[in-house]
Amino acid sequence: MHNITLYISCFLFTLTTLSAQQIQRAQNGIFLLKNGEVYSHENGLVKSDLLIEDGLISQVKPSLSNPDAEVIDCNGLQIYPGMIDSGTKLGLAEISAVSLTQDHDEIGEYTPHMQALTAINPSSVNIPVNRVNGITTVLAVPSGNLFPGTAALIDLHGYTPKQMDAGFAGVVLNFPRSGKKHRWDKRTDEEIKTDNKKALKKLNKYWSSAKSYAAIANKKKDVKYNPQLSAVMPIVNGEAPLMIEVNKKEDILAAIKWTTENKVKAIFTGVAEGYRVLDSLALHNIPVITGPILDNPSRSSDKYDAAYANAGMMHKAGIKVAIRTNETENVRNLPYNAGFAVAYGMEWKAAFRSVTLTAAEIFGVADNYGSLETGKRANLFISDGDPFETNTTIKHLFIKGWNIPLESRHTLLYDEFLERSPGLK
Amino acid sequence: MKHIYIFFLLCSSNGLIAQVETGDVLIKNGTVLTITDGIKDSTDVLIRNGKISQIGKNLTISNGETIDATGLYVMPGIVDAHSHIALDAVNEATRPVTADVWVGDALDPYDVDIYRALAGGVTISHAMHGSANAIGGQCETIKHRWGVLDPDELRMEGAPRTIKFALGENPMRVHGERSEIVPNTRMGIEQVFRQSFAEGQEYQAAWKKYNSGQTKTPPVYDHKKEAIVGILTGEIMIHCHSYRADEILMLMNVLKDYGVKKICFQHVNEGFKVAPELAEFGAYASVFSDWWAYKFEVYYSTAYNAAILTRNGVVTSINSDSKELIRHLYHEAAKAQKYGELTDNESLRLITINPAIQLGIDDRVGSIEVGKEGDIAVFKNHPLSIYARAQYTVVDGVIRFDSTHDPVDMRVDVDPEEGIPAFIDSAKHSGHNCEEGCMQGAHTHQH
Amino acid sequence: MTIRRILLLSSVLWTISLHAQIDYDIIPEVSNTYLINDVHIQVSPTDSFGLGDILIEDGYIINVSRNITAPVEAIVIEGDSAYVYPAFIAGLSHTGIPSAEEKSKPNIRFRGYPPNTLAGVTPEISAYSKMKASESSIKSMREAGFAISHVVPNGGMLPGQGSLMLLSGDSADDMLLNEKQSCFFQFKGAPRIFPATVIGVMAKWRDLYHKTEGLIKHKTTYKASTSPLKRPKKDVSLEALIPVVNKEMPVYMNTAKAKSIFRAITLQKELGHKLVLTEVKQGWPAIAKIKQNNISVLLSTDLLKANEDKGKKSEKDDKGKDKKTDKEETKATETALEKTTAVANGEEEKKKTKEEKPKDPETIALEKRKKESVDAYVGQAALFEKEGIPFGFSFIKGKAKDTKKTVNRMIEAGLSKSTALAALTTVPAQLLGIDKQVGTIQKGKMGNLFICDKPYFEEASQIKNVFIDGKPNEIDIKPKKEKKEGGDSSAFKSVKGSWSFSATTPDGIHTGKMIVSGDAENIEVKMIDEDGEEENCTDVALDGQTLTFDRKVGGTMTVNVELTFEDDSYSGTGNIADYGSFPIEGSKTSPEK
Repeated sequence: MHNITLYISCFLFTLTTLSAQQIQRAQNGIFLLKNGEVYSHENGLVKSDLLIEDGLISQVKPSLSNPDAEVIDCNGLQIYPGMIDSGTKLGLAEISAVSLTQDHDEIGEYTPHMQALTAINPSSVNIPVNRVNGITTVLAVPSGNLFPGTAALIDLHGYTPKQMDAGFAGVVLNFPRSGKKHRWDKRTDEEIKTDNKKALKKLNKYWSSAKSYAAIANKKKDVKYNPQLSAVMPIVNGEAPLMIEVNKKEDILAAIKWTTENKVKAIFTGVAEGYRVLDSLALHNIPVITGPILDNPSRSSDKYDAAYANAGMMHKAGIKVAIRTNETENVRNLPYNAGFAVAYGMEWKAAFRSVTLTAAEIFGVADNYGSLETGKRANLFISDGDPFETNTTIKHLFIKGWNIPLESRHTLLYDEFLERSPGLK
Repeated sequence: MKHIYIFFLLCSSNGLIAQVETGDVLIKNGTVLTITDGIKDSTDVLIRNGKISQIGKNLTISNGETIDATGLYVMPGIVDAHSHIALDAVNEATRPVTADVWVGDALDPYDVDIYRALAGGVTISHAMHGSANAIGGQCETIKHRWGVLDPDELRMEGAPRTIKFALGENPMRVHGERSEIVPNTRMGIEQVFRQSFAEGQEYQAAWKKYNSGQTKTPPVYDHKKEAIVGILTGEIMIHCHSYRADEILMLMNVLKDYGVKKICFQHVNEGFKVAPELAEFGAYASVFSDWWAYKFEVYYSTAYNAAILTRNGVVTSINSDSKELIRHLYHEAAKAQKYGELTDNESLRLITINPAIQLGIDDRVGSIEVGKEGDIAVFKNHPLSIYARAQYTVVDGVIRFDSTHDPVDMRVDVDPEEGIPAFIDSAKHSGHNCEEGCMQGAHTHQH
Repeated sequence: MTIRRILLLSSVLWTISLHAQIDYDIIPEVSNTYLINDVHIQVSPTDSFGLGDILIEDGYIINVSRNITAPVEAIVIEGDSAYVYPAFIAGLSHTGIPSAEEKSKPNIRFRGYPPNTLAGVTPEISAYSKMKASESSIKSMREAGFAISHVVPNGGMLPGQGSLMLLSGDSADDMLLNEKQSCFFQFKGAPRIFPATVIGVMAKWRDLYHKTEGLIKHKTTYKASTSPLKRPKKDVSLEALIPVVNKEMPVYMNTAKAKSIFRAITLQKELGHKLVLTEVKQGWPAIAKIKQNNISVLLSTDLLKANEDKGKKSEKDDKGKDKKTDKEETKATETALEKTTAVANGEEEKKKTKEEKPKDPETIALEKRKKESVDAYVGQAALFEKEGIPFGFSFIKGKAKDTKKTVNRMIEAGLSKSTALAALTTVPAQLLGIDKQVGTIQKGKMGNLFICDKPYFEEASQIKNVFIDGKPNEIDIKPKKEKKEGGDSSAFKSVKGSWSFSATTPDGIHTGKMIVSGDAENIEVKMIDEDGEEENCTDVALDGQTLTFDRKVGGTMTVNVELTFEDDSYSGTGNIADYGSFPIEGSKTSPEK
């Protein structure tokens, strides 16, 4: 008998070691989340059950039952909509210092037709590491020159880019910068000014070509193949927003002027000095994706908490604000970026909305994302407390109704090495 | 905290000659996280002449400032075992061995990052040479006495001497890949150490011979070898930039061969893989809470590193290596707690007494004990909470950060030729996440 | 060796060379006795003689009194109640040193262990050996009233030894007073070569210093030993540092900013050598330490260009405005923005909007701090005076020809005239150990003085004659045309147009085009180089037929260009602070438009 126990435990041990080598599969099906507190942006946490069917939230109300459902007891736990990081390189980059693992920066000044969704690597090791903190959806953004490409909103589960596609794609413009690019930028003020002027000229030249192209293409069907210009046609036609990365006060004002003049529907991203132009941003009703919050102020004379407080100040001024990390491997810090915004003045509810529903609204996908409502995609997580609080534990994670195992390279290495065997000898 | 302008200090600077300012402060009625002696509710901490003189109830102060810490958390000033703020030069990246240089020569008391670190409760940082060289320069432990004008007044007098070593990709890239000189591999790095230590021993022997009269003429002085001898004699402690398990084992083997007993591995992302060996050697580990995948040698790492190391008995700290991270080390400690199962106190140790041990200053700072230096951080909300916010930061009994009096523009040194301080796109805005600290000055800027 | 003996020796040498060769191109000297009649004599910084005469013979001042009867052989210079001052002494400059030669890019494998010359370590080279009498900077400094400069070579961390030079003579030999006066040190790295950074430089200095100590020990032992010993290795750099280590030769450290000053003092305290802080721009944070350690100081004459007179203006502006709330600020920005949007066309209107744009409180606060900072820099000299720290001046970045303007700005900021004069005469004389010979107008001193038509500090005063070593150097006073309201349009006409351009620099001849355009009030100069790269020059000014402007090269270097036009051609010089000057010439390629 003893031998059998030994045998079984040996077997079990081997099994766990083996399974530690690879991540478990996600499970699909009907899930009934019983007895938890369900978060809504209007009412906060309310005791309720939640049913997941066909990848969607099918019902949210107390005392639900479904004989086919796998029941998950959420007693004492809280259920939140999955968080959306509105600006990352997740899926487009694996190791920052290894250039051949970088797929976000194509050659050329005008490449709006570069599709982030094409280059998303569904098997990126980064994806499981980050989603286990409750981030279910991210915007993967190309970077580089003036028009680096088209960003893609993706769900963090799937085996093909198509499976991950969350229904938003946006052309990115890096608005010409009049600040120093980095600490070691040795250009004089004059040189920066000249470069900035040149870049603005380039932008305007491109945009007037795009307008001409659109004017022709709107009338004529078989217009010549011109992917560089056709990619921005929906923006010229006012059908889609342009994502404009802009940070410095003067550049923000210039970008507002540019979008007004060109009648461009814009989403501003970065907006590090948004707090310096609150009225202008609010007046023009431009939605903002800001972050990282955990960042240094942009100028040596700035208050130490300028970057922490920026999001809250913009929100208070009536600006629609979403938060991003601008990270690759540490998108998992999204809740902490939002948490710092709260610590430095933003209301908690607004901050949580900024990483869920507000983001979904900015991307035009609020029908499917951003809150726990019937009919929306079942992107959600179950935690033992405030999702911003550092020591809160995520207990379960669902993406598009799939029950995602809470495993990643990081947890597997922990399991393997906490008590290394063999140890010293 | 008064708004200090460099020119307003003109008058007062007369009598004040490189003497470190100390003060008297009474911190009343806070929740005192002593680190070494538990948590004391509603307790006062009295600092006199820059030293903690009493911890208890109903303490009074006759002369000096009083901080009402009711509802607040009082903890020892945070210690960062790896930073590059307040330095005008970080890397002398011209040779694989630069033991002769010392970043203590390049202290910059006007770096506003000092104030910003104070605003995150950090009172001490280990200002390190960069990681371009296998044997880098000597480092300096500084106190964040924001407002002083003389670089000497930043130094933590009497803190042990330390030196930076570096393994792996950085020295390989700077010297092997770019300049085609050894080291180009981890094999080469080992030989750089062995060669340097052997030369150091020979140099030491030559001086012994001369000093005992065995030789008549003195050996040729060598500032670099002097420092290597300092390492061999234990006077200078190694802090080694490292990532991979194999290279960590390699260096411990080399040190054993040359009788060097003390080392703190920095970053040490794969430390968790060799935690038993580190513990056996008595090596320390100073790690990131969650940095990984920014380069290949950290691809197979885990945020659970600090927890695994701690559980294996390695004295571990969390460091910043960044002028951004240094502002919220308390949050980094909280993340180290999240990834693993450390207790609150174990997590707080990661940024207080443990880094103090690693810098050899744990008899002076790192916990709230009578007799220790008056370096204190006062937080609203528990420092491990995401909502924690530093309210006061005290260095040597002088309040250097006061959130109730925190004007915009804290610069001490205003460039007369710069109008409005330049806007600088942070690495984070432009999406780059290279090791901004460690490799300063070693890049020929690709981006 | 006393200076007088050096002087005698050099004059003997000079005489020999003159007599060795018959040269009918030269008009021989008639006499070396001069009587300067009827002048206001500033004997010393604090002592004024009033009207009197000065008799100079064989290079020395023989007599200073009233109504001196002119000796028969004397050449009489009628002073017409002009003002005479002791000639100035530059505490430190690169005067007469040609621009640094373009070093061929070293292709060394071990950049961590470069030869000394590449590392910038050449303490064995003296300024005298690099000095060129034909350098225009000598004339320019002399014409500003200087007779002597302590000249240091340019280069890296240890460019070489400073030499004490007279500022007139046909060759460096004529000009030399003392070759090995000092050791010049800079916190300046060698690009991508050890020592590349300030930490490398300081480590290298310690290494060299202690190596020199070892060499001294070794040499002594070697000399005294009767049994055969290992000979000390020959090393010219270390040998040049022996007087430094023996505390015989002071180290002049280039320490513009406060941090450099503190670093210099740290090194001095640690190693024990003599220290002179030079080119000090931001010295006030270190005042206590400078006093405590009794360290000699040379202040920089490079006052900030910024806010030269704008400072006053903006102050007025600031006073006029009340502080605005944040909201008002953004509103104001908003209005300005709307305005700019509205007037997208029409340059003029745009300009107006720009000017009218009110400043937000943040900008006002920042500009206030900047102004306070500028004031501190300009007021440094006054503060040093108040603190009782004697100082001279150095001229590394500052231009000698701007001396009066610069010193007057310091005086406006509270410096007394007598201290200003002392900084230009007696203090550097004392520091350089020649105060017994020079610095005042007294019997027995060298005939170093200058004659000025008005009191020196008056804005309109002009130096007419500079006596150096008892010999006059008359100054061609450029006829100063009355500045017409709205610029000198006739002069502008003659410089307007396209010109060819040829500069003979140490790294070769550069040619290109120069286009002068705009109007008399706003002259624009554009340089177009061989590759067609265009560069708009700044600080353009036209004075008579002399056009001056600054041109940026290589991103950070500024060339001060001064060109004199004559009909369809021009000639002049380009000057790079720190390096030296080179000739430029050109001719007209297009008629004026």
